[in-house]
Amino acid sequence: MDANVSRDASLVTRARRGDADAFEELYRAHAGRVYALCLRLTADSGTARELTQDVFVRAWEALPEFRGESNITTWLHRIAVNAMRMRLRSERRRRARVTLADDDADDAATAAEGATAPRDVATAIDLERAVAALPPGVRRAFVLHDVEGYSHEEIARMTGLAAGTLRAQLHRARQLLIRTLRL
Amino acid sequence: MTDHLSFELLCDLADAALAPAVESAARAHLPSCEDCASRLSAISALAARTAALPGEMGPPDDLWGDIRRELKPHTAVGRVGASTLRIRHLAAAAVVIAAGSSALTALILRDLRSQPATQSAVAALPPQVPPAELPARLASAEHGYTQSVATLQRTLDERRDSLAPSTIATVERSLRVADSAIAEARDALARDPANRALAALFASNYERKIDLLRRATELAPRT
Repeated sequence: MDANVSRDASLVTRARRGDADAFEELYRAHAGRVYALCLRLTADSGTARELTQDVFVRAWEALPEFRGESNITTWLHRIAVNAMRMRLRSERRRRARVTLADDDADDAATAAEGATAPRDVATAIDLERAVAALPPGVRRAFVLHDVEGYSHEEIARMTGLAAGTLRAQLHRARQLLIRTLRL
Repeated sequence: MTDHLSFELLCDLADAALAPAVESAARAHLPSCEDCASRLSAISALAARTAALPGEMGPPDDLWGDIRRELKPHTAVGRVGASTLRIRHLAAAAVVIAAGSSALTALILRDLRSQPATQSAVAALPPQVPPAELPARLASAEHGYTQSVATLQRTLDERRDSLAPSTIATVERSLRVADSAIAEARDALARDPANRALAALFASNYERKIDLLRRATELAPRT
């Protein structure tokens, strides 16, 4: 872990000087987690691709201001959450509500199949489908807290929402998932 | 504790987020309440499934290529300076549009009772959509704007006979400024699609143009 942090710090330093090869190494190291987050936040593989692209382009532009006060993963995740928030705001009227339709579920399932296989793939896909079907706000709370492991306070800083609101969204997400998965 | 535990409290119990005294009371309740024990079990099962999800998912193989193409060389001072200058320049153009819009209202109000306009005046405007390619999300937004512009333009064309030549001239001049500002913001955005300030300016220029057209159509009586 320390080796990864040290590697990231070195790559960030080089990338801040404009070294695109170093930035590509950062991308290779972190794209999997960023893409997974984007896919779960958006519940759509095409949008997740665009969002991931946005995240890394914005990260490149913001690198000169990145001071290393948080680790690079948290920083990239924060950019992703902000980008998603802006996207939701601008597309609120156009976006169709995500449902448990087969197409949407297939996207999440395909992505899950391409990743490191969990012990019970079918169970994981069921959960991915159910997460994808959550309303965007509660999905974000669930993904950031239960999947990514951020605290309510960290998520509040990322999203600008009150910790109490996030807790309510998280509880709502868990209730919906338990009902959907018949746990 | 005789009442059922709330779902929120059960979640906090599963997350080990309760104060010791509250946790003790909650745990004391569980053996005697099948319902609460069952709900806690469901929360724990969900947590176990969630923990088994993969932390990483492979992004599309060609994604890095798309990202690489969007990376601009940056030195901190030069990049910010150029961006700021460009945005200031474009913002100045937006102010000109706004001024044109206000002047248009005054002119139209003054000229409504004047002589009819020439037939070709407003219709002879330059093309509105320059060809530079935008990212999908911006292209989609532009599509909506151009549809609004086209609708208003048709309405204005239908009513142009009620406008004086001086008003028509002001409309044309203001729309040319608007089109120029939109095209300039659009080109800048095509080169720098992640620039949020440019995106806002691009949208603002379109909205000003639509506002300008809307005022002209509202103030021109139906023919």
